[in-house]
Amino acid sequence: MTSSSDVMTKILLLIATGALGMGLWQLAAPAELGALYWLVAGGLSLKAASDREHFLASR
Amino acid sequence: MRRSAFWLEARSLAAIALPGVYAWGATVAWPVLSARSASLVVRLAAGGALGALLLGLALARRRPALGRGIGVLGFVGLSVATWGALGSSLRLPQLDPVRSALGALGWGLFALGWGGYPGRTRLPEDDPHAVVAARLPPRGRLPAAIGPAFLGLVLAAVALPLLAWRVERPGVALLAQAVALAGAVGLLGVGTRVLLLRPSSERRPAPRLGLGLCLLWAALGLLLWLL
Repeated sequence: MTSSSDVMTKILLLIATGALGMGLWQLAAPAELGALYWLVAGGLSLKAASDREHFLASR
Repeated sequence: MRRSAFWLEARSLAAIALPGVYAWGATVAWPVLSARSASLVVRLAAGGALGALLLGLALARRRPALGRGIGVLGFVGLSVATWGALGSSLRLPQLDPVRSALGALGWGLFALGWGGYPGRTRLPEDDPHAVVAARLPPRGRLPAAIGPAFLGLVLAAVALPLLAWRVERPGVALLAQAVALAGAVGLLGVGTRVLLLRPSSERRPAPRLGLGLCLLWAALGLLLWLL
């Protein structure tokens, strides 16, 4: 078994990790709007990475 | 039943019973016994929770689904009912933080014990369809970079709940904990699949919506930042 997910999927995962961390960091700031922006960005990136991984696995 | 299977089952049941009884004692029975004005309903619910745990364990061997239902839902449900009926007796200043933390650890181990219960009690060799032969060689190896990448993923998943503890405002703190927990679970789930991806025969359409929304959101952020 070898890993066949591409660089873009891994970048999306990295973005999701960073964005979620940034959102939680700003939630303590307090900067609600900024935090909300980063948390939504993290969720969207995670969804995009998940969709892309499913797509690559099905090829 | 073979002797080794008996011990496997006994060990699995103990892995549920010991943390379950400890969690019950530390987080359910102790507050009930400490509260001077605990009503009969509270005491019955607390006793019923322990009864559900023991009954579930007793039934788990012969009827796993029923045993699990009573042992998990009955035990947790009656424990929650006890906490609800205790009301103001469960205020934070009256709780011992060390006992509470150890009780939470007991609840976690109790959940893990139920999670592994049926699987660990059956020996593969006992299955009539089992092919008892020499060990099969692996068909492939993971790349060397997967180990450090997986470690980074786990560290990121642990860091999110730690970041959430920085939030001190009452309402937002709970939201932060919930978001951090959901984010950590999501990261671990998706990240593990991304790192250990294997081909499958399932056909799925090319993903466009998620990526499109992601790019749109990034453009919106850039626009707001420039303005």
